[in-house]
Amino acid sequence: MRKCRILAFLVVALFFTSVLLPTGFAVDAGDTAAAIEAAADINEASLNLNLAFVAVAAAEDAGADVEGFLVQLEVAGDFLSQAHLALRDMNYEDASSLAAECSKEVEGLGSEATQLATKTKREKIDNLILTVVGSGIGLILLFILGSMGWVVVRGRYYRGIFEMKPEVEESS
Amino acid sequence: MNFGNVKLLYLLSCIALGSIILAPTLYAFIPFPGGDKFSELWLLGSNHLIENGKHEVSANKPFSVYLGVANHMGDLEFYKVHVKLGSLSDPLPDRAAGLPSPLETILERNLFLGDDENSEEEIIFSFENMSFDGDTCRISRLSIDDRDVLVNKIVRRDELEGEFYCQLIFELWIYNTTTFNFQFHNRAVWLWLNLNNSI
Repeated sequence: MRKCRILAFLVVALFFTSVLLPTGFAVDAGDTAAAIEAAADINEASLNLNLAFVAVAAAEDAGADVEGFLVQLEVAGDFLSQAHLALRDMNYEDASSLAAECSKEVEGLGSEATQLATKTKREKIDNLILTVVGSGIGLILLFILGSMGWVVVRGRYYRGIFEMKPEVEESS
Repeated sequence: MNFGNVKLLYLLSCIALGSIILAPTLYAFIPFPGGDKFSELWLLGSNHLIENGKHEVSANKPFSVYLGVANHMGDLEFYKVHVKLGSLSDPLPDRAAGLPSPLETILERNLFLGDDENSEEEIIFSFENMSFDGDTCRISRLSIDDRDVLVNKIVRRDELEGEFYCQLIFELWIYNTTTFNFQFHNRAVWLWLNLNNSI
């Protein structure tokens, strides 16, 4: 009887160690791995979003119209927020896929924004050169026309004085 | 009018005209001082009004708040609003020291605002699975804009008023393009919630 009990105990112990433990461990390890992967995906998406923002901010600073980029950033930002929520809710698959959506939304955005910034800067420099040259030409013309105008004004002034006739008061 | 006055008037006219011609160039080169740089964060109740005092909350009954952010920083900014859930004993953000609340974030919202732009959006919360046991109330889940969030927050009954109070804290964070990370922008608002046992 005692031998039977020992045998039963050994069978249960063997079953536990060979079947249940590895299964339980595998589930935990799988969850942990998924959580780590989802967190890494979110970190990557967050980094991509930050880099895209830096490029868009630089383009905006250069004077470019970044309205279209902002819409993309907003959409990516919403995906990232939802990814964080999904991660918090331990829905790792959703978290990873939302983070991927975020990364996809801002893919190439940085380089596009940088190109736009460069183009806008070039246009700005061209405009600046045009403005400076225009102002210079304007000042030169003002100097020439001003000098000529002064000659005319001075001439008119003196002519007016010379044409003045002294009034003689008639004596009674 | 004597000759001296004519000369002066002519010279002044030329200077005025010269200034007008030079204005675009000067505008491009001379930096003009900007105003104060700051951001705004506000929280309005469901009826779009400021609600003082405590907000009554029951399990599974949604309530909404309007969260607003305005940018007056002079540039395009990337903001994050961190939403945190705390009990009365939990530390609030320390605005004097410029420190955020150490509580964990349950929700974060990303916002991109140009200079002098603002955004206001409605957030709908609902406390799911609130269980009351003596002097404690356990909030298991919180639904935010129809998305469930695991919170597992325990709120103790307030000894003075005999009620269960918790607070929803909204912190404004800003992305620093120099250090390439987010930093607490020293703007925070919070809403007191009175958790009711009624169904």
